[in-house]
Amino acid sequence: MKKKHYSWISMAKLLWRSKLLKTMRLTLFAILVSVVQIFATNAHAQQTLVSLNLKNTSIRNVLGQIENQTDFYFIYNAKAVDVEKEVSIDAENKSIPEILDRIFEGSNVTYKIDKRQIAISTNLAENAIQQEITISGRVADSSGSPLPGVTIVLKGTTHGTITDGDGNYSISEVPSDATLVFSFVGMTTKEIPVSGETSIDVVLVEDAIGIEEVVAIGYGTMKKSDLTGAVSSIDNNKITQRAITSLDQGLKGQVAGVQIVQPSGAPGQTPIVRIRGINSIQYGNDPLWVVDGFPMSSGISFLNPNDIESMTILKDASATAIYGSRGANGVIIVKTKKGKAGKTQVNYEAYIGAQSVTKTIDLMNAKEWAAAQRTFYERFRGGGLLDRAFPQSEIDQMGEGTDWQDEVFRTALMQSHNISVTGGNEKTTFAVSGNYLNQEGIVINSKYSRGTFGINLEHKASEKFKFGANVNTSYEYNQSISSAAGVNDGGVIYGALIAAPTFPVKNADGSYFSQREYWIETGRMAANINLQNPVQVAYEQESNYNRTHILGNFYGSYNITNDLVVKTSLGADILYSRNNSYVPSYFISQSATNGSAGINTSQRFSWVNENTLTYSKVFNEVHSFTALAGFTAEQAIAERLSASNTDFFTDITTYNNLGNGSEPRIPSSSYSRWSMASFIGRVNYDFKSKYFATVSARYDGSSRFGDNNRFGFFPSAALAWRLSEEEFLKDLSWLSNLKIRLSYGKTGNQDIPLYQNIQSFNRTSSYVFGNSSKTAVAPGALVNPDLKWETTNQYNAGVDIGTWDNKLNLTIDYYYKKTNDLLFPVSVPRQGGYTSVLQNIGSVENQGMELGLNYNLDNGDFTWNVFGNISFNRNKVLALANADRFFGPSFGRNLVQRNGGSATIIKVGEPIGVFWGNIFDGLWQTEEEFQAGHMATNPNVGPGFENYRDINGDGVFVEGEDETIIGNPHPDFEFGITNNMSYKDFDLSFLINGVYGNDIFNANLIELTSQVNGQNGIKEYVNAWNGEGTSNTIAKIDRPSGRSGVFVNRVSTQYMEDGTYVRLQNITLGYTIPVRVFTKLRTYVSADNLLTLTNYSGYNPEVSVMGNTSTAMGIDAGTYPVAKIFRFGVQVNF
Amino acid sequence: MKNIYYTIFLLCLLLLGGCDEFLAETPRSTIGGENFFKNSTDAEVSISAIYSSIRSNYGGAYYYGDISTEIANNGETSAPLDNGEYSASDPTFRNLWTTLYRTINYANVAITNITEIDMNTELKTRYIGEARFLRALAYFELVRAFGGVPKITEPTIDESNNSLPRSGTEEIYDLIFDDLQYCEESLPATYSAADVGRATSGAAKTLMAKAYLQKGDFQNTLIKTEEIIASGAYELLPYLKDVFDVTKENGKEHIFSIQFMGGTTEGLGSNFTRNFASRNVEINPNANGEPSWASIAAEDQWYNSIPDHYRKRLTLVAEFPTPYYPEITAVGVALAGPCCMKYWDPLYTTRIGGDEANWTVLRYADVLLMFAEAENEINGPTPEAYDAINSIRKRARDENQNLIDEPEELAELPVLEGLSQDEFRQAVWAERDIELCFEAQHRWDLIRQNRFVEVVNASNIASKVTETNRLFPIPNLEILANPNLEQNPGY
Repeated sequence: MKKKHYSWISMAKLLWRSKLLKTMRLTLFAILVSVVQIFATNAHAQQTLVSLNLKNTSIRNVLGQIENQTDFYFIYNAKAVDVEKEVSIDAENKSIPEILDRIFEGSNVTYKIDKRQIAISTNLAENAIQQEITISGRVADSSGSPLPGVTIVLKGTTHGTITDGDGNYSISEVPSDATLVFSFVGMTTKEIPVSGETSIDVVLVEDAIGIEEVVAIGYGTMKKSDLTGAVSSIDNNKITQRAITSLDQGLKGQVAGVQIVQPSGAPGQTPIVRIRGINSIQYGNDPLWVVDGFPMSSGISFLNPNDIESMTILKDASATAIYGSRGANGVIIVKTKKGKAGKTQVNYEAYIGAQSVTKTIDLMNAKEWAAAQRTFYERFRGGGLLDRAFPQSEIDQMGEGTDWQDEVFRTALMQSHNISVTGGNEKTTFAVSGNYLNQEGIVINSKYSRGTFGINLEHKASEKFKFGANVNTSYEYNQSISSAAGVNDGGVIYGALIAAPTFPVKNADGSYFSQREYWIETGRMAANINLQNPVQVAYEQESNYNRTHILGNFYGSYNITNDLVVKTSLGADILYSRNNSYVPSYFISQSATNGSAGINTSQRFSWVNENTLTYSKVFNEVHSFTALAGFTAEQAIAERLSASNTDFFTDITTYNNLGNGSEPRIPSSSYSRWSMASFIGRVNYDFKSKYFATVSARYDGSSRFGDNNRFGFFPSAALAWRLSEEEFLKDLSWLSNLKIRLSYGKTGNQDIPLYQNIQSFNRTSSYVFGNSSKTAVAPGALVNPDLKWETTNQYNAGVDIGTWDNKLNLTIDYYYKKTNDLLFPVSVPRQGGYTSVLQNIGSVENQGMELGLNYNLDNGDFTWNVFGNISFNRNKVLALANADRFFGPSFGRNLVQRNGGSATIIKVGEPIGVFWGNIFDGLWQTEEEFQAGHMATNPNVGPGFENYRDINGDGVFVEGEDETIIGNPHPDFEFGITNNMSYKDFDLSFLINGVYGNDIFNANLIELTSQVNGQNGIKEYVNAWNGEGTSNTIAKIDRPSGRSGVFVNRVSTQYMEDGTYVRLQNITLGYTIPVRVFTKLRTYVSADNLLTLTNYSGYNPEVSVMGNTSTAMGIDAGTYPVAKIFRFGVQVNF
Repeated sequence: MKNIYYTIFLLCLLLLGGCDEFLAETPRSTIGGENFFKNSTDAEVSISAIYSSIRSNYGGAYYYGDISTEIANNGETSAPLDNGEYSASDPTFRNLWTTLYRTINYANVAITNITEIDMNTELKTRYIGEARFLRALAYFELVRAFGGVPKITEPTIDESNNSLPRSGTEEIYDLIFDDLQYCEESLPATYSAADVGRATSGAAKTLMAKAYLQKGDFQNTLIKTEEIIASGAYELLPYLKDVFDVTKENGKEHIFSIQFMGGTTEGLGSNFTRNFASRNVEINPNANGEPSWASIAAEDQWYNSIPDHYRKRLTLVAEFPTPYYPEITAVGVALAGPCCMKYWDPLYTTRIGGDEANWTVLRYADVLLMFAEAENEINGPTPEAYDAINSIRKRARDENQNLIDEPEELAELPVLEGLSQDEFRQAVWAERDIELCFEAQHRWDLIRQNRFVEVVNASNIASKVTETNRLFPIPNLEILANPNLEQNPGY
């Protein structure tokens, strides 16, 4: 009977909730109405009238009838209250108290009305008016996963229970006004007043500071409170908040000291990740990614971000030295999601999004451009070529013309579907997941898609022995458009900027319009005759890649004793990738080659075997030791094959049938392999959790190094002192944590070219004998048997402060890194026949400061977490190979013709890759001023043209001599703010990040402000110099004869811009629909890149046309713009 | 439990023991040093690499040989040597130095290693001969450009060759003659069709003659040129246009040419047609409609000073169209100055991978003129000397290509006779100037004739040259890298 009573209550609640569900489906307004209904008060009990006519029935039945007629319900202890007592009642429109008074008349029973709940008790149990009830419910973490093993106790008692494998609990004999305390390691303890509820579901959030949080470190885990090094961690829900396609994008703005730069907005583009600056000038600066213990050598774009449990970023040498010759650039440890014992959980997450370009660049319209072009030809060579311009009568008829940017950009769709199933029992746990992502690019005909599948299994064979396997597989497909810049290079975006607005995209007959054909037919448009229609390039020039990636790792661990664990693992990483390209035969660039197709394939295979022994023991309850020793061996093999052909009789088969071409290029292939064998060791010691020490080392043997330096030793040491545990600070109740940390360590970068230590002979350019080509083979580079890794010494000092129960936490780190033995091709006297030899000779320093401030508030219904971080890094070149400077790589786009096409230099005493060029001092305004100036002898300049500063002060401007440092691509600082709040079922989060003080070389502007005769330019062109004082920025529309030879496209301050920006990376509003059918049902709307505050005039201040190249950062040239994304998403757990 | 520790310890030791082997990677897609020079094929491909290396030297030889003198300019743009500016930091000198020493190292590697190969002796001798010829050629280019240079005859395997000081000029010439004497004996006079383009014994003799002449050793020049003439292996092509016809390369007159082949996807063609063509898009557009590069053009002053005759009209064109090149139908003036048509490949616009024109290093007309000059110096203007120079002139005036001296042709370019020794000397010099113009000969002739400063400064050159400029400066970066190198006097 009693059971029935409770089930009725449950049903009522269910009904209530499902009623709410219905209203939810309608409007938010309806929710508010429901909320108002909930807040019905006592007065209500007086006003609610009931009619009853019952004879010889039990009190229980009477109470049941009242419950049926009203929304009140009764709570009582059937042992204390005799509800089986028979009563008769005849009441017409009586209030509930009136009825109760009548049926309990003459007994010692009293009642108490609290909202809709009526508690009935006897005077015998007067001090315990409250009914003792049984409460059940479910405890989950913030992602909705059940939490087994959560302790639940009645506050102030020892009475309690713990949750089972599914996170469910049941606790009986709970007074209805008691308070339950839910606690779990690493989670904030939550107190919930029972208030008569019999079903209480609880979500525990991670502890404010996460001070008991366990983080992954190299070859092990550690309590966060015991860390001695500079280590940051980030969990899944922060990574996947943005519309990211690659999980490294999820780090953006979230971790102090980690710089994430998205070099372009092309779909599938992975970002540049730098931890604490740039160490290496010539070679790798990417951090080492370690996925489930596997050190990756082939990138992580294949991983499904939803599969990631957490990422740990190891920043200082104390943390990274265990990775030895690969630790210098920092290490990012990725843990994928594992199964948990208990009920099988199904999690489905999906979103659909619409993307559009964040901004477009103001260009001249048809009429403006044609007029400017006509002006040019009127002035150029005395008007002798005026017939190349549009006649004035035609110009008068022109309007806006074609907006080429509008033609190549589009609103693009994006969708992601993710399903995962986790579960298991005490012995075996599993997690399987699948993901499909499809992102169209905002430039026509570009897209990226990826499917992934992952499985993690673990089985405990006995108390001592367990083993498991992780497998992640993926297939990626990327279709890209040419983003080359420069008139003749056929880039889509650059092409859209310079294409003349006077021309249509297509001719009347549906074929693509060609400026070249127009020139041939009409004799107009002298320049740019090789510009291919950018829309046509996007649709008809093919370039794509696909990648198949399999990462598998098998491991087993055995507890030899309680203190000693041996673990071994064997893993393999297999990547197959293929790049395809085809340029149709009818493209201008193919007039000699008649179509060209190419296929590049590469296969990588690497395996790793790791064996570790971990010993941990606490002596005398105060000395805590953890020692690790291990041996690892690994090998990586890369094979590559490329084939290409030209002269295609058909464009139908493109790259799919190379045999349709008849002028094949020589195919090429290569094989390379490197091997490593290493010993690792680490000892962590702490005394009373007050004083901590860590010593670690790795001894790496690598085939990449020279014979004389085959093995490297990479030690580190760190100390930490948790002052807050000291007696003299324990009394400060507001101070919950205060720790200072110091570390030093040595790490290496072995990402240097292979086989440089081995004498070789290579095929060189063939020679012709008897009118046929004969193979030629010549000695390769001069060998250096002393070749070794690049070495970084890093010092770190940090402090962690937590206050008010770790509600407010501050972490500050200062570091100094000096990288020596940088590998350079050192010039040697060329009389020996060689130009250079690779030597470990250069040096670079980085020093900086990182601050992270975290505030947490959890007031039951309202939780608020805000995390802000700011990082300062200063980079300086200390030594280079026998030169005090050299130029960075050419960005080879015809846009810069001086200094070998480079815009940057590497110079001792300066940061890596500062911009180098002329200083633009405006335009010469008058003939007198010009004649008196330092460019008077230059026949190609004059009033209205550029005044470049005479930097060396010799009174005359000389090309190549009056150049200096004109900008710095490194920001002064960068920062990120993440803000997550939730109120009841609503959550709101946003992520802001920004950089300050870096410069961008906007190479697009070079021709957009100087080549109006044949291509479009920026809108400001209409204000070009036209007499004294008319402009000081846009030169006169003219070109003195020979100007093309002297005023080459150059690097100058007129194209340097401030790259400072603040961007609202993401804002998300979510609502968790409280429906019992699902464990969790959340929907959200989200916007990425909604707002960017910047003075930069290009598409996107976060730009790097040279991608990962550290010596040429911050250059914009035809770069794919970033998208603004609006998304709607849903998350379901059941 | 102890056993487990021991096992792990032993396992580690075992693994460490295998480490060295495990870590010893050998390249598989490149040829490791120890696997090369095992057979005749290895020898053959290593020889090709020497030719391939020295080929890059001749792509721009005209810059030093012609543009640095009064006869040519650098097209529309100006270049240091065109203006008479000689700077030790000018990268072109370093490029010259680098290319030639790279060639020398390739040759040294081949010579040392081929000696050890077990192979057909005749072929082995020939390969070593070819390597020594190319080494001699590279040293000849070096010594006349820079003077005495470091003498390196062993392969560079470490940095020991990198710090050698300069040897004397004589020492370098001795090495050249030593190499070439070997070549005279070991190289064949001719090759089968498949090997055309390789160095011959005649080429070795010709190079010897040129080296002797450069030194001013007329006696030995005479001996060598007489030997070449007497061998009957070479003759002047009857028609001048044929000498530069890309379909008639490697003829009887071409003693040694750097081989180029247009139309290959490998890019084995030259850029001479483009470089020597006039920069005038209407005249010489390439396949993409771009103007030619025009890296060299004749100086108007010099062009106007040469009497107008067939040879001049054929090789230097100031205006199109011209009857000698009917395939060029466009109308226009060569912009930077008359363009040289010696490297004209009519099909170059349609060829991929460069044009067909070879670079002739040694040709028989040069031998005849060297003979005439040496004969005159030793024996005076003998009939043999007159025959030699007049045979060149006869061909040069044969406009209608009938091999007959017509009166108007004779008036244009008369047969030489009755000259004093000095007049004859001047006549040979003048003949060389026009016959061998734009073949990277002129500078070296002016220098050995001791009239470099006088002639160059008589032109409208921007900076006057001095005796110092007879030698190029040693590149300053080379001196910086090897302090044992001494700079040439005056720089």
